Amino acid sequence: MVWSPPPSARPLTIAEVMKVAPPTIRADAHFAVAHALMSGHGVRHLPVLDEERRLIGVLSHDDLYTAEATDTARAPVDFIAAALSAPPCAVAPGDLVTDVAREMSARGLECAVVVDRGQVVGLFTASDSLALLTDRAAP
Amino acid sequence: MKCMEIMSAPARTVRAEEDVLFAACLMREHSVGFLAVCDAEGRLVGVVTERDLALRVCAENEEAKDISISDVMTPHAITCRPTHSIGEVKRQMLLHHHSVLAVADDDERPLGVISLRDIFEATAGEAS
Repeated sequence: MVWSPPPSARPLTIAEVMKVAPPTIRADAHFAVAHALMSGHGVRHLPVLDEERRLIGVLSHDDLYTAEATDTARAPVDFIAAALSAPPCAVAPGDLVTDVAREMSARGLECAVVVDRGQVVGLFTASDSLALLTDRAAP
Repeated sequence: MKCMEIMSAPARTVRAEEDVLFAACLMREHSVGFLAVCDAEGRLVGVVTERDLALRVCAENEEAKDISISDVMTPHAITCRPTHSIGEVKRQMLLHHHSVLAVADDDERPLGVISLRDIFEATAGEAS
């Protein structure tokens, strides 16, 4: 058996495969808070929110280590906002996995943030996509 | 400090003619998101990440067994040597915007993998 569903199968939506209620971080948070959140939750991406809890970006562990390597982290108050590398890929819970994966692939992004009525409700990463692929292939 | 002191070894490898499903299972088995791609002689010909594999399959709705690694890998990958200093490795990573590099010998046979995270963790004590 392989990943591709049969033509008659209902396409999966992001809501069915996303990580629900991922940890998030404020744009003005301290560098160390991001490290602690990532290691504490075992995640590599944090949706970054403004003071009204609206999504303004995604901080990846690669962003963190790159910032550390380039000494961006020496200005901790500005750090999170300064380290955001690309506009986030914000999707809706009802969006199809294929469409989201296509956008992530085209933009070279590791994750998509699922937003419902202006609030972050989930996260879908390349790792989730890999798990989906191998789980579907399992006998 | 040299690359060989902190790299993850051995490198997890896959042959270029293997299929995406095989590589995806290998990544999950070893909990890695990066594989060195080798030719029949064991020389590095590219690298492949979990994003290269999974997103391609999900996005195109193709069958993972029908896509070969050579179709999705990044060829001519930047590598470093085990004797390089981690300062030099870090410089290469930042220059080329890579967070992971394959470590190879002079014949381009993969020996290990080094990440920005490895460097961060190895040097965190020095910075404080």
